[in-house]
Amino acid sequence: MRVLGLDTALPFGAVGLIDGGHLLYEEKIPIRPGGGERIPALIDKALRVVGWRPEYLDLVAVGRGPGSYTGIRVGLAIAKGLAYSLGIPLVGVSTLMALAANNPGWPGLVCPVLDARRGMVYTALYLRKEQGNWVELRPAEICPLPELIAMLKKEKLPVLFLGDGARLYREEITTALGPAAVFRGEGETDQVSGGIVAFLGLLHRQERNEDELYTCLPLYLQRTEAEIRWGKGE
Amino acid sequence: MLVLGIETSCDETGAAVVEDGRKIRSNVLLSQVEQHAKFGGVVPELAARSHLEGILHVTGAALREAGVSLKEIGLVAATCGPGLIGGLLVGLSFAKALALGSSKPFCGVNHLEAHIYANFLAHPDLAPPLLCLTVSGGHTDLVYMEDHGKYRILGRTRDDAAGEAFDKVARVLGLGYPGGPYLEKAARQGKPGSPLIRTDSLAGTYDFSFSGLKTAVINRVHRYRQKNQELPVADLAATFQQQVVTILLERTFRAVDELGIKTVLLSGGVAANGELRKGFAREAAAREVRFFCPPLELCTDNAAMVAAAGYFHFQKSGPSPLDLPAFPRLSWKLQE
Ligand SMILES: [Zn+2]
Repeated sequence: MRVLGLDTALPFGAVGLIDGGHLLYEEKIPIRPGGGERIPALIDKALRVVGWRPEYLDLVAVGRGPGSYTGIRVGLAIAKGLAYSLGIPLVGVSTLMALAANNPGWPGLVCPVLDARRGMVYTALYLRKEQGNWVELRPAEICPLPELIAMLKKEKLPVLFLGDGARLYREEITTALGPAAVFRGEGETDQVSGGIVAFLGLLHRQERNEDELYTCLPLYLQRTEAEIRWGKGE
Repeated sequence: MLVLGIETSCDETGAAVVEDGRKIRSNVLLSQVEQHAKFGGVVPELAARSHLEGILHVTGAALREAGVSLKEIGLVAATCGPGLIGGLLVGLSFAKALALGSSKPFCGVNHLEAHIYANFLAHPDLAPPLLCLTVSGGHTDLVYMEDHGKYRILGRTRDDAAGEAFDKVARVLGLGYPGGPYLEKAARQGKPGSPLIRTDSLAGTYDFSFSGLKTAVINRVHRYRQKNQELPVADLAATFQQQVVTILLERTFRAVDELGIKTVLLSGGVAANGELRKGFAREAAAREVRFFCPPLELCTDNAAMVAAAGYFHFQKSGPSPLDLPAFPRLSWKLQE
């Protein structure tokens, strides 16, 4: 299966091409807020470098977030346009799981944390098994930081923290969890890999055999300000 | 050449197939008006969410209604600005990917230019040079079109767009949303009174300002409320509408006279206003100038006009690059 993976939820947009289990191409570019306009050109370039015509693709895998709403929508709009025009299936992948999976060599708990502002974080909890596959212990959610810390205090294994929220709240997390909290260097661990999104998409497709072209939507995880205000009757 | 047009700049998700920039084969629109009505205006985040949810459906419907497959499409055109950034990015990204996946050229379209081209769809023999007033909830632009791709903005609004002012005044008067049609309906029952503001601060220019008029209505409403008097809604609506129309006519037809214009167009959502259409027809007839305006369904945002503009733009300048950004505050420079 030839799979295109893309993710635009975070400040780095990622594109990757895999053929079965083999990574053929991967590139990341910084995307400014309200940007992402270069991603289609980047996909075009990736296909050319690998020597594929767009029709060679069998599957499109796309990060559904959480992350920047505008960014996620750009990725999904591109993925939908490609899958629709090529007549191939689309699968959505959690951006948090893609982040977690970007850390080979860590067998155990992985907790991606993204800053959702106002003391809130987007987070999830994964367990990497020895065979290399993943178990989602807690699905993506938005919660206040103390709630996340309280939940993790109950875990017995060390936890690897990733993402911009992990860096931002490193002190709070370390104070509460002590040596059980593990951090890696800045940079790479905060970025999603397009190749990994493609791999996760392929796994997802093989497990469930679903086409999410029409059903895949962003993982917003929270209502809009307007909806919240309306709900309060203001 | 068949062009697939995509429009997502405000609160309408549109897809259309147009032949040679003139003939509409399909024009599908998914309106979000009801969704935004309870908020009294377009909520950008909600609009962007709805565009993403609707874009595949409207595109599929546009191709089906036109009876064509993506293979037969020669060009994919999408609005790249001006408009709400979140929505623009959905349509633009989707259109680029469609073009990439089907190996077709892509073309970014200026939404204001598209409004002018709405007239080309309705009137097959229409050709530049011409003068066009585009009035809607997002813009009030007086544009001289010398040729395809050659424009000069003579004037634009310094504050609220005409349609925006209609919406806000309608809200203050307790009429519905969107305000334009409700205000017009209310105005029919009323009599226009004395001017809301005495002097036209932009007299002699081609620019517009509507916030003063809007504030004047709001102040009058407050005065009635303070005195516990019944609000003369119909009269206030009629007064406000008449003065907006007067300003629009004054700027446009002064330009017609000064530049020796022979063809004048009206476009945009507010072009649906009966008083404005009547005024344009009357002033144009008095000068023996040709006047065109689109049918109502082509006044509001739609994708057919985007496809038409894309066609003419592509004929003249070729495709746009796949890394073309969205321009939330696009000026006409893009097309030069
Ligand atoms: Zn418009």
